[in-house]
Amino acid sequence: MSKPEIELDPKEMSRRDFVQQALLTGFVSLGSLGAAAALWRREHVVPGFEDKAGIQLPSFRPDVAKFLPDLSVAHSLNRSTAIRAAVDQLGGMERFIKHGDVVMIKPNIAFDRPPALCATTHPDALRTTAQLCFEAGAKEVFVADNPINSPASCFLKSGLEAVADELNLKLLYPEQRAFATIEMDGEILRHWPFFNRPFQQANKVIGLSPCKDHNLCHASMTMKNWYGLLGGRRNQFHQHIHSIISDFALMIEPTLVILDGMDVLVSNGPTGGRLSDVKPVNTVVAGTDMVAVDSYGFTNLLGRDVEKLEYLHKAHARGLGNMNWKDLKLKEVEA
Amino acid sequence: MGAPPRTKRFVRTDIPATEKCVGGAILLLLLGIAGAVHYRGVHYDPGIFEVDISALESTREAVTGVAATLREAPASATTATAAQSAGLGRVLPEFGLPLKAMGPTELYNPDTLFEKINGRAPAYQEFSFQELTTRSFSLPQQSGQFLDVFIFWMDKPLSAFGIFSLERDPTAEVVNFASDGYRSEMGYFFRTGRAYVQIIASSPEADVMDVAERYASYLAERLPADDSGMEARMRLPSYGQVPGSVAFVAQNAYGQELLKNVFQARYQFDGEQLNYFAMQAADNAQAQQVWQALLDFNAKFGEVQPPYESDGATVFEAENFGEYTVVAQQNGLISGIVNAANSENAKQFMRHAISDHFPAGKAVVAPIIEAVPEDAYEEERY
Amino acid sequence: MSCSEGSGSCGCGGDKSKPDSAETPVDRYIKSGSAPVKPAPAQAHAIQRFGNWFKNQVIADMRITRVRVLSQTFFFLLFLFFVIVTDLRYLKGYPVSLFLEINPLVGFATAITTTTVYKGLILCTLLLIPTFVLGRFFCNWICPYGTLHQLTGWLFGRRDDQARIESNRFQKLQQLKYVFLIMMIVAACFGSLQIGLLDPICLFHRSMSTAVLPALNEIFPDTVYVKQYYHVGAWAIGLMLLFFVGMNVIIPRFFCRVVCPLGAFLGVASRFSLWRIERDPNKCIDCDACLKNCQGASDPHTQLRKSECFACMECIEDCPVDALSFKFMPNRDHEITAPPITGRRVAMASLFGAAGYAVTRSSGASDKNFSKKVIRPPGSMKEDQFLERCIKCDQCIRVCPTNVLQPTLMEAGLEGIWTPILNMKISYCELNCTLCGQVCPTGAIQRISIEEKTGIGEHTEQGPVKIGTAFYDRGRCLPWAMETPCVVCEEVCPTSPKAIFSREVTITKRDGNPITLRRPYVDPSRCIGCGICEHECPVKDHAAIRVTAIGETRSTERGLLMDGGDPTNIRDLVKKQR
Repeated sequence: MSKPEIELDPKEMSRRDFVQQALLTGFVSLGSLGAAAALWRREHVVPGFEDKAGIQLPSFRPDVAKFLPDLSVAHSLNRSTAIRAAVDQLGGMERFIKHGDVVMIKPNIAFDRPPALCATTHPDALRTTAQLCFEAGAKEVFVADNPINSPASCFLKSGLEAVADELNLKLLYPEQRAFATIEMDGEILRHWPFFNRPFQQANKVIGLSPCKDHNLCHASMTMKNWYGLLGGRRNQFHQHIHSIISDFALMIEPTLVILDGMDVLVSNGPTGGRLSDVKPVNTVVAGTDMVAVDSYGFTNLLGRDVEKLEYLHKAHARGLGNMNWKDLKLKEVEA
Repeated sequence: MGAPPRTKRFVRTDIPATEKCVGGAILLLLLGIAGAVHYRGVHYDPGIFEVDISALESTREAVTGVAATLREAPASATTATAAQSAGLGRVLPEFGLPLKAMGPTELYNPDTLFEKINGRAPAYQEFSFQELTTRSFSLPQQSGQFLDVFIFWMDKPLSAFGIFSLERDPTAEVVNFASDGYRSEMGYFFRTGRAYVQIIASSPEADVMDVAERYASYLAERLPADDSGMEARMRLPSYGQVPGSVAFVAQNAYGQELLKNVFQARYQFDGEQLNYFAMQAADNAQAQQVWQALLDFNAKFGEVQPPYESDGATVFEAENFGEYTVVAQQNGLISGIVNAANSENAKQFMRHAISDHFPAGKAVVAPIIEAVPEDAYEEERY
Repeated sequence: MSCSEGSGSCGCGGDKSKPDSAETPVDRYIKSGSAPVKPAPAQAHAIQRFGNWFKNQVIADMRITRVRVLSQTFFFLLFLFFVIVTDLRYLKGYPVSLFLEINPLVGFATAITTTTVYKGLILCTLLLIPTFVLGRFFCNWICPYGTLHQLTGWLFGRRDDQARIESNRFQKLQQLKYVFLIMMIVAACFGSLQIGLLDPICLFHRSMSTAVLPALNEIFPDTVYVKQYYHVGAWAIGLMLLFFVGMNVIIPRFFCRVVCPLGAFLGVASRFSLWRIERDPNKCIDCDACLKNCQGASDPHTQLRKSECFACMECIEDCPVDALSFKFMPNRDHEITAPPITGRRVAMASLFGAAGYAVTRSSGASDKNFSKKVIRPPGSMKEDQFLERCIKCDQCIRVCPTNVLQPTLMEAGLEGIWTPILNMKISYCELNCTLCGQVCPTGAIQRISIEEKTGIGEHTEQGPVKIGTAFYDRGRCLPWAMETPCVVCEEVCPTSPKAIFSREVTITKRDGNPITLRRPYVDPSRCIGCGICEHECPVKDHAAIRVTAIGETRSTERGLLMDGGDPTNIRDLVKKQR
């Protein structure tokens, strides 16, 4: 049989085919590499516990304002006047709350006590703060806390529920699904159930706390207030109370903290129980640095020696705030 | 034409240089892979492989017929919520007052007390806290007002007294329905037996406080009275007693080793404030021993008058650094005035105390409002 | 005038009209004897002789096929090494899943089912991109299973040249592997991962783990295991291996050419390759000698089928006229780029794949009708996700230090065949061990840490991973039913505090004497389902305490307690809220 004639065909591929082929191969290679990289999962999960992967809070701090004070003190016989004055000195609520913001106010309603006993945030304080937020253009204001006692009872008896009804504030209760695990590199707090629901929607956080004596940690002011965001078996922390309070300064960077020192619980704290435990001091302190505010409060509202306040020293040493309030730009006013 | 010889294995004889280079490179790559595998193999985290082969062996051995010890499950936080008004029968009633319970009676034990009063709990634990019965009531007739009732059961009356006096309001009015009790602006606080009761009202308004007072008195009636260990307390004279000044020192009162479980109180007598103490000894012999020890101590550092008898009591008077001390021992009770400025007042008061006969009418003394000291929270008010 | 013998067997080179002045390759073929050897100098030293040997036998003869053989051997031995070292005692840090991780079909198929590329699977790009460039070289340079087939064929196959040539011609049967591939990919699109059934690395590893190594240990005791390992259904896996290996006698590289879905995948990928075997038609004498050792049956003697060519380079060696070369961007006319499967067959395969998926899923074995025996290893994803990931490689079964992991047959449904479950009759799950998760390449068993598994440290709040719950069969339990004291289960329960507790009771025996017994109970909130109790129970045939697949933490549907495993603190909060 004879072989078919074979043309002397060109040995080389045409240039067009060459480019086409090279591009195609290159494209396919890069495409598969890109797809693999995009879909790459480097971390494992523990199946069944995935929703417990840790979250991290963003910072809620306002931008650094060069010419405005960071700590303000207002003296007045009227709570609302004092709070307004204190916030005004800082530059007004407009410095912190912008139009359309969703604000989360964190009061301290750990116990279901009547407001006069100064164990909880006073309803007038909440009213004034919420009004200031709305005046600055806030779209919505949440009030949330995970109290020691029953949440419903605490909101009711502290008088905050009435204020919420009056001003149409949204109360958020610590239900089962409202918690997520927070992931942070604290001394004690590393991986813990955290009351996350308010933060899913809020973009500003204001801490509003009374000034109280405390049996274990000497004072409960703006830093201890954040204890009410933790879930889980919190009781274990009492063995490391100072470490965990300093961890709070790492856990959250609020927009503003207000320390309501109109009445101060000076003995038998944190529960108090008698009006004789309460002393009128008629001062409100506000600021962006909770360590500084607590330092001022301990010295000037409770009248105690700040050397004894271990958690302040810890937080200061860890660079989470400045306990030397005198170094800050301070404004004091009588109103 | 035959087939070419098939002895040779390879057809190609000259291998192009590029082929050799590529081949060499590939072989080097294989060597590299082997090296990398080896490196990965020896650098590893031994923590991942915690399985101990010998442990596997030991669990493989069957253990037959050995009764295991029963292991107690640790108390969990659910005990409190489970205990809430369930099956323990201690329900706080309304006593027929215009009250409506806001929830069930809550019960807390030493492990779960934190869940009610959080950071305040250690203060109660130090006084051997045993159980808390608590309930909140609303006042239907005064909308928005409520009462919180707390009954802290301690291990003995003395402990209840201890926590009571720790939290005492120095400005408060004494109440008459309990041996230790006072009315604060927003509540009633008293001790009956080994129970320390707090009734906290939501406002100082008269009608709310009125209900609170009635509730307190009903409770005081029904709570088991028990003053064991408080004998000395009961024998503190009420004449001229500064309200809210009764204190309890468990040991080393006035730096004296033998002075234990001592009750102290302050008195206004003849324009002077006197510090009085009383200690109940186990029997006369021990009382005499303590009395003698005090005498010897005072003799060492000061001057002691010759002791004398009076109304069945042995008494000595002493002077130390310009201050006067009178101590009596009577029927197992050691009592006395310590560090008085005026010796006459001290002697006179003691005479009254020993004879149990004070001038007619209780001298009503206004409470002394003290400024809260800097270290108030640290002071042990024992 | 041309030679009448077209096949070139006369060796004359065909065209006698060409002048004889230049020495053609044919002449060299005729003239040369053995490979050229430079004459060794007399009395050479050992080093010099070694040097010469190295230069002549190694460097001069560094033909690509030799390098390929070395490469094949290297990877085959590496694979065996990994299989042997996948043992608690030797594992250390060796990347024993490497072959599975570089396997592009595993990476691609799991990317389809899970839309993620899990950890080490990113390495599949290391193989995929060179395949895009160089073609299907994996099959003959790296694949250990391919090496096994080639070895078997070489040892036991045909010897006769002509027979060999005929056996290496392309057969239409070779399109079957594309059918398999498409069926499996389509099933993967629906969420059922079946590539592991026929993927060569998975198959080979599975056979080694469950059949070959235990068999070796039976014959040579204590060489492989500390204690002999048994695997349920190993016979089927072993038979499958023997079948495929044996078929090499009938069709060389049967598995690789006809069955292998990875080969099909790489065949599809090689259509983009920039290099391939190129036959110079001007030199070719149509002798078909290139088919003698052609591994892929890719028809190098005519138009090369790119998708079938294994780049084994044997044809280059065998060609008497040096007409073949591995060329960069050769002429497109001389190749068949596309795989040998028609569009209609593709459609049919897709339908079969979809139908197959639907039919097997509808048995409900992975859903409501789940078997109580399907106790998955700790760290497993929930069942539908598990089946999206498990490639049935059985590495977990190989590494398990207690031999509790077994390949299923039908317990998890047909699609779950050969996936791992625990068999507590054989053994139990060791508490402080997460080896199965460490070796799983696809994340069907996640790489959890021991802290996460036992619920300690940071993970105390979420609690331990539970794979099942133990239940008492009181009719069989000695203290419950037979007046006999025994609390072995409580003794061996490894949790702290123990999930088994007992209560004392005094009864009167049949003979009238009283006896105090401890009767055991399970605390389901603490039981993790490890199965030591079942394994140690003296009632060995059908234990009085048995673990079943309920109360797993990996999925809420198979949870036991109503709280769904939420920590007690959250439960308290809900109760407090009144």
